[in-house]
Amino acid sequence: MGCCCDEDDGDIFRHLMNSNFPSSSSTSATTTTTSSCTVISPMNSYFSALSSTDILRLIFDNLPIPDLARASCVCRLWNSVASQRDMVTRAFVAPWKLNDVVGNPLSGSFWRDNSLAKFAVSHHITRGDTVASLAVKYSVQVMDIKRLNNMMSDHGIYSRERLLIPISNPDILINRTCFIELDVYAKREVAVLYPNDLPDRRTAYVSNRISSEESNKKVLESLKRSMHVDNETAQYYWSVANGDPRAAFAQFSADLKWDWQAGHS
Amino acid sequence: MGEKGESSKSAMLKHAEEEELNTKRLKTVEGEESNMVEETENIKLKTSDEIIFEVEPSIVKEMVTIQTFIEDNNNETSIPIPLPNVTSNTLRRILEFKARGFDEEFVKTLGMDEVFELILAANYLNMKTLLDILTKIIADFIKNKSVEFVRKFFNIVNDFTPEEEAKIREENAWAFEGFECDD
Repeated sequence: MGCCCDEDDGDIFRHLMNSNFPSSSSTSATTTTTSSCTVISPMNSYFSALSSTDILRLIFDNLPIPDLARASCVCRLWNSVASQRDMVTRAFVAPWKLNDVVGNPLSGSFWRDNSLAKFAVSHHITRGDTVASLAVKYSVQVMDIKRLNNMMSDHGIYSRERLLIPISNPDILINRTCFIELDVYAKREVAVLYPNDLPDRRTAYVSNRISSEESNKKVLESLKRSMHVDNETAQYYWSVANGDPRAAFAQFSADLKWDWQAGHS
Repeated sequence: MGEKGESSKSAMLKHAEEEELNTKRLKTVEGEESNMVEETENIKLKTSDEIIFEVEPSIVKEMVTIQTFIEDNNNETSIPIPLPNVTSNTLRRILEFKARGFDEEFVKTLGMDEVFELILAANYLNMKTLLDILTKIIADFIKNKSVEFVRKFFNIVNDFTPEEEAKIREENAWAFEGFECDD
């Protein structure tokens, strides 16, 4: 029949009262129960089953995101279980059969929507890429790529290190790991897929890492000065050199030489 | 829980013999071999109300708690294994459920009290398949329902202070926008 005098259950409530809601509820302890205590009533028939966090987790494992959020409003115990990161992650990845979501979003509102539009593939731009060629490669519309990356024209592609590509076929998400990033161009947090699930750490396009962006700016400035070029060109060379300033300069010199030899200068 | 304790205990003791008969009938239902009782050495389980059930080893294998216990004791199966947390009613239901191939519709005919007893027993016995099915059924009860309905349905007391509840509702306001519950 279940054991209503389990010590474990007592610990759960003590833990809840101490951690989640540290403020004492002395004067406002009135609830709908006849007794004045503010815990799940032991008179409740389902007390034992529903006060077991293991069982609650198993139940919540079946809930989609909105139901999980509503479950966290039912009572303190349900709140403590439903708002755990692994529960939220599981609900987030469930429809897409993803392996994992890595990273901490800046705001909890990230988890509310797990539609396909939340996900994108990170494409590192290489020479010869155009928005059209990428649209073909990934089977998406040019408009959708431009919209996602806030591109005014097709030509801005070379001022970027990478483009986010919307996902056309949800099957590519199966068993993958995605990374939560605040993309500076998309201006929102996106769950990003990388080739081989290896995120590129040296990036200027992800603003979760603010300090690295500022140091990148400095590098760009010095490139501009040494190459005597404008912002766009400096960024282009920096991106094709994968963030390596020396390689960027080398590539630039090589291009200059080619231009000169071909009689263009 | 407490309220079912004493009276049902005496009732069950009264019908002990009938229950043993039912158990044997159940075994016949699911395994056509009615004389397997002697040959494959069924495992004796003793429920909290002192009723002994003889259960086929294949079924006991799903009860990982029991199976582990048996293996840890050199497969000694002559002594009835005590199940202090499982009543005969519950064990009978479990065996019945199994005999019906874990038919979800069968569970929906049971009262909530009994469903939760099944969950507790399945959790204690560590029967993964049964637990997954039962918890999924409970989740189906929760989906698309309002918070008030869930509290009433599961007899859960709202133990938030008004301030806490307001804060949590605000954080999760998005989950209530345009939400049409089918209570």
